[in-house]
Amino acid sequence: MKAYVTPFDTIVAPFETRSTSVPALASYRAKDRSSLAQRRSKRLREPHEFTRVTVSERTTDDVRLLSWGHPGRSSAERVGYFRYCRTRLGHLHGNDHLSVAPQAVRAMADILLRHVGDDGTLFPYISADDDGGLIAEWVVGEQRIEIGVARDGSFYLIILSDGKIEINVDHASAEGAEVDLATVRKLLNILTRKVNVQNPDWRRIFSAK
Amino acid sequence: MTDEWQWDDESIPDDQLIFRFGNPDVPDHVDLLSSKPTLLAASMSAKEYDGWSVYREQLMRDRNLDIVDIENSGRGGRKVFQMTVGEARKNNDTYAAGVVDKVDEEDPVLGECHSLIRVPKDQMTPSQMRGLRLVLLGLLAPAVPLAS
Repeated sequence: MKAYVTPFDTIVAPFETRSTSVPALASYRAKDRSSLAQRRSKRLREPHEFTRVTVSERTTDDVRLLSWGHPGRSSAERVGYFRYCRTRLGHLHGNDHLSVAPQAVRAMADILLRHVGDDGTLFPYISADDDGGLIAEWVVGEQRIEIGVARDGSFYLIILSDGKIEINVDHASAEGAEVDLATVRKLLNILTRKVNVQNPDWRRIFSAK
Repeated sequence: MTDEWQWDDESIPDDQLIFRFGNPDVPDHVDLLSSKPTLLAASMSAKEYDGWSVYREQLMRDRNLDIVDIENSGRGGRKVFQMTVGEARKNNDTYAAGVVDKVDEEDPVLGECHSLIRVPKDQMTPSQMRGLRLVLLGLLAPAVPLAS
């Protein structure tokens, strides 16, 4: 029986460790023949083992803030930023009536998915402009961020704070625009944290569309 | 555009309302923080390089026109929003804008009520007009019928 106690102790790792695998834990439990009192004692030592496995698989700080895997959340509210953006861009691209240029879709996907967001980021509202391009917008109180991509893939970026234009720039492509896109990313991180605290159900705004 | 570029008419009072229509194809959106309705940039064009088209309250009253006439213009079903001239004019260190009247010859119904929100001529670039649009979007509110 002692042979089984040792592997369990290796599983009891610091909270930050994220490599704990569920199957290993399950096979250990199946073979566990220790007394009820011993098992209860182990559970007390490690009360969050399953929660920890679920959350830690998802990595970043922002994701943890968003309560991924919380049992009270419906599946519609558990869609992440990447999936939302891909789905929305796919819908706009596939809509013949809007005639969005493929180059614009590629450029917007590059900006949104590779440069400004991670899976916990606030969703932008993405729409087609009347010229084959796309506009992505975030409105958070007095802060507005607007990224518009033209049909040739060039883009502009505007950040407005309290009625004042902080940044208003044009770029030929995301390459060479890293500094401005990093500014957007930082601002979105701050806004995401703020909205998660003050309006944690913000995803419902998008599930209705 | 003439050589003399007038971008503000000081005889137009600050408390006068101006109306702007939005694209009915763009859905309503809400502020992610407060969940209050807000306007999206996609709902209004920024490619108006002679100035941002609006309709002015007094000119509409003089001709017995109301919000419903703007709603029914174009393809119809337009959403109409309002702000005051003073709000549009509010200058700060990132932009300056003013309001001038300019008849729209192509619009037989509302053409004579037509005004423009303009910025100084050297700032009338595509980039500045997009910036101006974003500033103005935050100031617009749903229009209230003049008859009420």
